[in-house]
Amino acid sequence: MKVTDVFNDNPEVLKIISSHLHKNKLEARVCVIDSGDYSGGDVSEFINCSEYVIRLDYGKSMATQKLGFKTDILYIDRFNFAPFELNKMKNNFLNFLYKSIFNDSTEIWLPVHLFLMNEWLLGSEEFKNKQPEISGSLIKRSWNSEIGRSILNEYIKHLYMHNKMNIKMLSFKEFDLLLESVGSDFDNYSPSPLAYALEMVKKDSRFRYYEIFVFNRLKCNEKTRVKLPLEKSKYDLNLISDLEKEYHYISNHSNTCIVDNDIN
Amino acid sequence: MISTNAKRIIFIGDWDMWTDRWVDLEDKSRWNLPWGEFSGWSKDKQQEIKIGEDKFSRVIDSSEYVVRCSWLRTHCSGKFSNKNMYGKKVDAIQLNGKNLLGKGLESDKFKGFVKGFLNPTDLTRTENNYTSDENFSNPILSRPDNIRYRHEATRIYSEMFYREIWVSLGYLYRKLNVLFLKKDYKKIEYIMSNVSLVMDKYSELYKKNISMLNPELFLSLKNEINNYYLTYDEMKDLYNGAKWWAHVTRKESDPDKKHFFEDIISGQQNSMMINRGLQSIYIGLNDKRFEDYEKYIIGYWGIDQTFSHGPVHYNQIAEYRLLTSWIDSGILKYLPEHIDTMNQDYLNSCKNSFKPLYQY
Repeated sequence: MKVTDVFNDNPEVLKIISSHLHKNKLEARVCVIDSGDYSGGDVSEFINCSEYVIRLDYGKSMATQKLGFKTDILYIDRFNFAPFELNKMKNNFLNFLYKSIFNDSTEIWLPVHLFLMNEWLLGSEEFKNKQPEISGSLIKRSWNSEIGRSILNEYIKHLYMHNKMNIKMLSFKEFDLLLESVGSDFDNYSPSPLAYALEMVKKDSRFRYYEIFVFNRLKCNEKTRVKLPLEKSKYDLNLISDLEKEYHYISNHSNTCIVDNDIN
Repeated sequence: MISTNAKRIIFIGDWDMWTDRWVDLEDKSRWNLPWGEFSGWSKDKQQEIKIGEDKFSRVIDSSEYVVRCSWLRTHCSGKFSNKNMYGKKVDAIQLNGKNLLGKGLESDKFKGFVKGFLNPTDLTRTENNYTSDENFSNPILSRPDNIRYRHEATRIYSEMFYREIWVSLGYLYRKLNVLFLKKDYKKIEYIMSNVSLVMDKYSELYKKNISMLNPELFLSLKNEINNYYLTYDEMKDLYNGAKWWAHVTRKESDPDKKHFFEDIISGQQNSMMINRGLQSIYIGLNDKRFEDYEKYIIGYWGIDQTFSHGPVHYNQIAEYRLLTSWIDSGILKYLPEHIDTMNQDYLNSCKNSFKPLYQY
């Protein structure tokens, strides 16, 4: 007789043991918190009991006290980088939130196209008289260029020294695929943080079997434009996002639930 | 995906010696080696350890997931010194399930039970650490260095960031096994409801994910170990002539011990105890998040203590043979066999950079 038989011969009691020994105390799901204007009910418990919580809004949603406080992954935009600004924060409460969110999270996700494109172009002669167009191949050139790479390294060094977190971003091929998937007709299309983060979730094998919940979606009927002045160039980098079009794309993601109202 | 950490998970015990290649106990070409050389514990390894510190640390700290399987001792590499051979990164710490049982269950006194269950120092304490009452009554700095280091290690780790707690449940299953044999199902239900309470409390207090083997996986692991079980006589026949076997059974010459060896091995077959490191590895192997991660282990799991260590309920040799089969089949990799290549990859990738960037 096997030593384990004594357990297996008592299926009812084993069931009781099983019911108390969950594999995970947190639910195997990913919550993505976008930067909309939240007006729904309190979903803190749902979010805090999720295994992974990704915040795209630097934790501002925590101030609502309805969208939980757990943060595992933080999306950081090159042009709105909280740690550099920590000491300049006038609002103590937000300062506290920013600090706590950085203490809690283990990963930073970066939008590879934004900072690579911009930083590389700052030092480039090529685009003095030419309007740059964002594409995977341009990012690849930037990635492989000495100056682009050294700026990237400096940036990562700064992030790592301050936060000791894992830093992840899409590769240029994956970025190209995202542009293709969104099906944008615009030049210099810049995927929104939500579209970018959901693409990262899709590519990250850890989340292969997880359900994804999106909260606090940023809604906008018009196309979003961001103008980035390029030093040494007479052109600005005009980035454009189309949230409506992206919505059609992300709402078709498998295992993804977009929660625009309260969750049942 | 581009990442500053490589897509791998590393399980770390508290050993600070290693051999360059995983040692198969049945490999007769190594049977003539004295124990120190066979196991990597010889004194002439000391210099190699010093050289190895950097490469192990940087490879471990640039891994996406690091599981510390041996409470918190691994950072201090056994002697609680400032050695840093196994890096600093920690994503999951192993919690001994013994703490989940609580002291009160032995006496059924609710007061003691709560204290035992909810003592937060249990989460981060080392094996030989003290109770919180003792900590308060006896200031740490007044203690000898070796004891102080234990506290320091505990303190540092409790403040350090870790994502998850992985619980080993050998003690719980051993207790349940006894109750099953006694058919005391009410007590089982009582224990389990309270274990659940404790875990909920830990989750609430620490907001950390808690992973453990569910009964199906725990029993499956136990059966896998038992597939590699050998009786004492079978081991004697198989390993007779090997110097490592002579070392492991060195106390057989002690007349007081001689009669116990067969009983010990026989008892291990029927014990529900499983080494905590092996439980952590099995949690990792069965966690779907890590399906396509490379999985590495370091070091040995106490085969030299088969007959001499306090809790001899673990079947150290069967567990080791199971690990060998996993390494042979590629389920697991033995880190020292790959460390030089991985270290070189790291250095190449770090050229003109602060951290390597891995692309996968």
